[in-house]
Amino acid sequence: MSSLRELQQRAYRAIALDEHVSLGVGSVDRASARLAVYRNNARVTFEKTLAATYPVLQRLVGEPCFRGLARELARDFPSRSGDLGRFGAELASLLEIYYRDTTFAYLADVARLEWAYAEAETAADAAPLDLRALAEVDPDEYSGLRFVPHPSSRFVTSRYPVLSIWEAHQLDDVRPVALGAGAEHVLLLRSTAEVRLHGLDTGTFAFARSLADGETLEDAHETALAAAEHFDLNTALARFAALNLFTDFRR
Amino acid sequence: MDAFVPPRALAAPIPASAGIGLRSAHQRAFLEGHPPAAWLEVHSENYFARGGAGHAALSRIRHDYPVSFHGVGLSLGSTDALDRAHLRRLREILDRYEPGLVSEHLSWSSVGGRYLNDLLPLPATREALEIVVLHVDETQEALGRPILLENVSSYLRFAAEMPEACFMVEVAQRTGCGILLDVNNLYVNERNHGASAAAFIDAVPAELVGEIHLAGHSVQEYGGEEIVVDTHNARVCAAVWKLYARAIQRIGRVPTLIEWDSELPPLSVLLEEANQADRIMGMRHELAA
Repeated sequence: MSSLRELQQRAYRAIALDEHVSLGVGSVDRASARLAVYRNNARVTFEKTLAATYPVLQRLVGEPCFRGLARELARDFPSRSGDLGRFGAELASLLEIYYRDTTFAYLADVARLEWAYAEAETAADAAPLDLRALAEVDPDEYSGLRFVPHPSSRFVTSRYPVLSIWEAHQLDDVRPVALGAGAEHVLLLRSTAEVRLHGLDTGTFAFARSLADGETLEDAHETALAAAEHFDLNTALARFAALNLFTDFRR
Repeated sequence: MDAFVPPRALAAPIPASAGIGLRSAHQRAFLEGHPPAAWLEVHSENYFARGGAGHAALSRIRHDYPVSFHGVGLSLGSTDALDRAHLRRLREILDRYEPGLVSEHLSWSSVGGRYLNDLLPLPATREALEIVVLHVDETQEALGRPILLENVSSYLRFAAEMPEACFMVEVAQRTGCGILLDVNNLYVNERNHGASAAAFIDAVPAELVGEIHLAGHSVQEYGGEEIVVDTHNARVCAAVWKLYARAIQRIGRVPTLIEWDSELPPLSVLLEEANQADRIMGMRHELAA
C-alpha cells in the first residue's frame, strides 16, 4: 500500500471516526489539537447540510437531538460524493431503525417528505403538457395513453398527517397537529420556481402514482378504483392538468 | 432547461480586476439590478442540480456578468480514482454556462469512496505530486479545458520532501494548468506553521497565476493553542492586503476574487473589498507607468 493512501486512511479515521491514530505530525498533543479543527469542520459541514435539507425535522426533535442524528448519520451513512447535495438521503432509514414501533415512528415519514422536497427542488426543468396535442387524440385511444410525469414530481404517503405537520412547521408559531388524525398522501411538484406540496385523497394519489409509474390510463384508473371506489376520473385529470403534473404523453 | 448551449466563442473572459463570490442571499440583487461587480464566481457543485431556481437565476446573471466556476468536490489529491460521474456532470454544466475560468483545489477529501467534504492538505512528496499530476491531466482531458489549481489553508502539516510552492509549480508546468493563488490561505499557513507566505509568492512564476483569492479568517482556540482558521467570514485583514500588494507587484493585474461564505454581510461590503483590491492593482499600474 502506498504511504499516501495509508496517510489518507488514517486521517479519515482520525477525523470522521474520532479514532486515535498517529499521523506522524509533531507532538501528540499538538496534532490532536490540529485534528480537532478538521473534526469540527466535518461536523459543522454535515450538520449544516442536513439542517438545510431537513428544517422541519430539526424543529420537531430540537437542535441537540438533531446534532446527534447528524453525527450518527455521518458515521453510519458517510458522504459518498464531492457533491454535498447528495448527503443525507438515508436519514429516513436511520430514523426508522431508531424509532420503529414507538410514538416517534412518524419522524421517518417527515424525513422522507423533506428528502422528496430536496429532490423536487433540484430535478430537471420541463415544459408542461401541450393540451392541444392531447385534444387531437382519437377518444378510442384514450384508455391506452401513458403520461410522462414532470421530473420534479415525488409521491410520499404516510399513515400519519405528514403534510399537516410539514405545513404547521412553516410558521413561527406551530399549532399542534394530532398524530392520530390519519393518513395523508402528498404529491410534491415544482412546476414553477418553487416546490409545492399537494394533499391528495387515496384514489387520486393511487391514480397519479400509477400514471407516473408508466401505467396506461385504463390500468391506472383500475388501480385508483381499487384504492377508492368513489374515485372520479375526470376530476382527477382536471386537477393534474391544472397542476401541470405531466409533460408529455405516449400512445 | 438544458436546451441552449452557446458556442465556445461567446464565453465572457474574466477581466483582470476584482470580482466577488455569488452567494444565494445576494442572488436577488443581481437579478433585479446591476450591482457594480466586475465578475462573479460560483461554486460548481451548487449547480449539480438538474434544474430549479439556482439554474434559472444563473442563466440570467451570466448574460450580464463574466462568471467563473470554482469546484470544491473533485478531491484531486486523493489516492482513490477520480469520480467519473462528478467529472461528467461538471463538464455538462461548464458546457452550459461557458465560464471564463474553472478552478479546483490542491487537496484531497475522500478515501475509499468516503468523503469528508473538506479541503484536506497533501504532504509535499514526490508520491503525492505524481497522483495530482495524473488527476489534473485526467480532469483537463474530461473537461476539455485547462483548470486553475488553488493552494489550500491547513492546520496539519505533513512531512514534506519539497517546498509547497515547488510542488505546485511543478504540477502546473507538467499539466499546463494555471495557479489560483489564495493569499489568505498562505497567510493562514504562515500563522499556523511558520511557512513564509512571501517566499511562496516569490517562488511562483508570474505567468502561471491566473487568479488570486482573498478572504477573511478567524482565530480560534483548540486545546489551549490559537489556530488561524480559514472561515471566510470577515474582511480581508491588513497583513493579507500587504501580501496581496506584493503579489500584484510581481504578477501584475490578475482576476482577483473576494470570497465570503459565512456570516455574509450586505453586498455593499463585498463590493467595498473588491474596490480595495482594484485600488491596489491600480497602484501597481501607476508605479509601473
